[in-house]
Amino acid sequence: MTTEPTNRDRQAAIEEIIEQATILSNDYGIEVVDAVKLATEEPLDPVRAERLWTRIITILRSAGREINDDGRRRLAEQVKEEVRGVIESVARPTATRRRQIDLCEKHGVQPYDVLPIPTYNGTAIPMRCGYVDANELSLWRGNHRLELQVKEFQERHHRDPEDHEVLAIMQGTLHLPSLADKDPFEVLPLANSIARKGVENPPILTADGQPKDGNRRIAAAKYVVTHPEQFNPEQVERARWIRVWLAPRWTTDEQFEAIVVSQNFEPELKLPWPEYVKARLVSERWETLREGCPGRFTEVTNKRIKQQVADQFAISVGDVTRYLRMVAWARDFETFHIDERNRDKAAVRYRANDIFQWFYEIDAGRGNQKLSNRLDADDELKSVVYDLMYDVLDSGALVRDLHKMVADDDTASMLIRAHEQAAGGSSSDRELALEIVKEADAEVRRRSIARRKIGFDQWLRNAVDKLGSTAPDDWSKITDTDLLVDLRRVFHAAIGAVEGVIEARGHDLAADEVDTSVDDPFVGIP
Amino acid sequence: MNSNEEARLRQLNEQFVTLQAERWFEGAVRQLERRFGNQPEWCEDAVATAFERAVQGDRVFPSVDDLKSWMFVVALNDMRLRAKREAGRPDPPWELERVDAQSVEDEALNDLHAAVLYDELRDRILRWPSSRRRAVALFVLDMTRAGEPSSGQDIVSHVSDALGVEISIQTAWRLKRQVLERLQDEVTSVESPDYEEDEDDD
Repeated sequence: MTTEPTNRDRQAAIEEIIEQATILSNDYGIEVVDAVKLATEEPLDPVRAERLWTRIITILRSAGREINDDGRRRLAEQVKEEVRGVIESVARPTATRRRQIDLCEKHGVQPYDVLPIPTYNGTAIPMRCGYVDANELSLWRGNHRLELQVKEFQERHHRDPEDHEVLAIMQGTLHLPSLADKDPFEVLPLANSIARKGVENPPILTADGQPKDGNRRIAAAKYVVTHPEQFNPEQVERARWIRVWLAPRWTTDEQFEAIVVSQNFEPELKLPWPEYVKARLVSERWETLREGCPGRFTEVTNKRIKQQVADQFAISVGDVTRYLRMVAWARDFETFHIDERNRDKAAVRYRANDIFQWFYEIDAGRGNQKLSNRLDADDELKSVVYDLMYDVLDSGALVRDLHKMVADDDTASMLIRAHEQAAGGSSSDRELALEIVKEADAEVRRRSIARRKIGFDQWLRNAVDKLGSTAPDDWSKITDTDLLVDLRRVFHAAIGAVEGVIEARGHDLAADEVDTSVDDPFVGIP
Repeated sequence: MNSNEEARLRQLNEQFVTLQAERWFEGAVRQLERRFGNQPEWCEDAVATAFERAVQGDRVFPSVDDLKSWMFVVALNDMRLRAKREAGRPDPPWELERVDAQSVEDEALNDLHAAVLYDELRDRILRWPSSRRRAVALFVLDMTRAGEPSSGQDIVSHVSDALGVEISIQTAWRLKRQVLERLQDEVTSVESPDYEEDEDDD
């Protein structure tokens, strides 16, 4: 909005008028004449000359004429012919064509000016938005994110990496010794996301197509485009057309630096969704797809649906399975507290949200020892565990060990005692209950160690009994091969542990080393 | 298209033959690149835009040299304005008036500011005692407002038409320099300096 000019504005305006008047009324006779000489000495390269002369001849040949489509076609041919004549009339320097990025219309969106004009680190830079083909784009090797890798490449190969090599570094397909990770820039998860929903945050390009921001997104989009065996045609097409912001030709390096700094240093202040929210969305989507499945719901169908959900949310099938189980337990937990304990629905949901990770820990253990399996079969146990989870427990580690506490009679009764204590309802009751659970956890850990020791002793005793009177150098007479295999396994582990302790005490085991290869009783045993 | 326009375009086409043979436009681009080196595309655009203005207006250029001079000055001024905009400096009020209005209200205000400033300068010039300086200053001011070059020959013609006085092109240049200096001093000084009203020497 224009406002009343200040004295300073007025002064600047007057100075500008004088300057403009000076320019417009000056005599540039020498420069005008010299232009002819310069045209001979420094002709434009073919690309620039073609651009300039095409425009000039078109202006002249179309002046004062009303042209229909046919006329326009004839005019274009005439101009082309004339331009060719001018271009070929003189030897020209090699074209130093700067790549021109043409923004395309896609999904009904014509290229448009970005409004309001974006400001980066306090600098306003007018941008134009439109779609470009990912195949047209190269990565920016000067990207700060790639600095170390490009430097390493230069040191090893004594040259700059080519465009395809920069892409390969970013996609993790070009091996650099210092890059142990196969996907150092985590391009693959991003590629999955882009395949599903396209590049959402537009990269920022220079006028000739260099991405000053969004290298990773472009690398990921290119990954999708170049791996049609991993993505379906629709996904490839979606990744191919990237919505970008194109900076004007005159954007200076300082301004681009402002963009890079702004994009990478200023916090986005974006809070990730709680995992419970994400898991619930995944679960709801799975249920919708399942409901839409005609006929019998087989494991094959389930796998297919899970894959669909994984694709939609750009996560793995394993994540979908995990989320489904966690949400199922969380819902069971909510239902229990709302229906059985008459708790406030909102409060229950908040609690389930807060402790959502614990529903993953519930699945700890093996086979029938899993707490989740026991909860399914034992309502009384479920009420103890769910109540403790709601009011008492304060860490996922305790939930992870619950299956061990439940499996041991003594610690299981400690849990019941804790449950009764917590039922008192006061905060001190809950604190005491937590102490009891922690004691139970410590006890179960101790017992676990003791059980392993007892188990070893018992096994050793049995082994000696089975070996009977056979001397250690005459074990070839033992017919029980399983016993020998067990001996080898147990002794191997025990000897390793013993050696570790001896060495830790500073004893040189190598000095005690004897050649046992001849008499090794375990030779030949798998 | 009337016969005058036909004649004008015919003449332009004839002049273009020379410009094409000399490839003058390329030379003009190179000249501008020497002044505004880091923006080669701007230079091409400025030269082509100047030619477009020459073709589309109702200007008649008596000779190909006049056409070249006019286009060069217009392109140069165009480049100067672009460079100023890039540097974040304000446009002259009548450039805003021409190209930069954001809304009807802005346009009206820009018009008003430009008109107020123009009237103020014009009033100052009209108080000058020398008729030749007044004529030259008003001519340059009017041409500047229109974004049109005012060459030495243009000034000679104008003084002749307005005052019926013949002056040399050298005098036209000197007068133009003097009026611009005086205008600058007047608008930047609290008190106007005394100017000796010397008579022209031709």
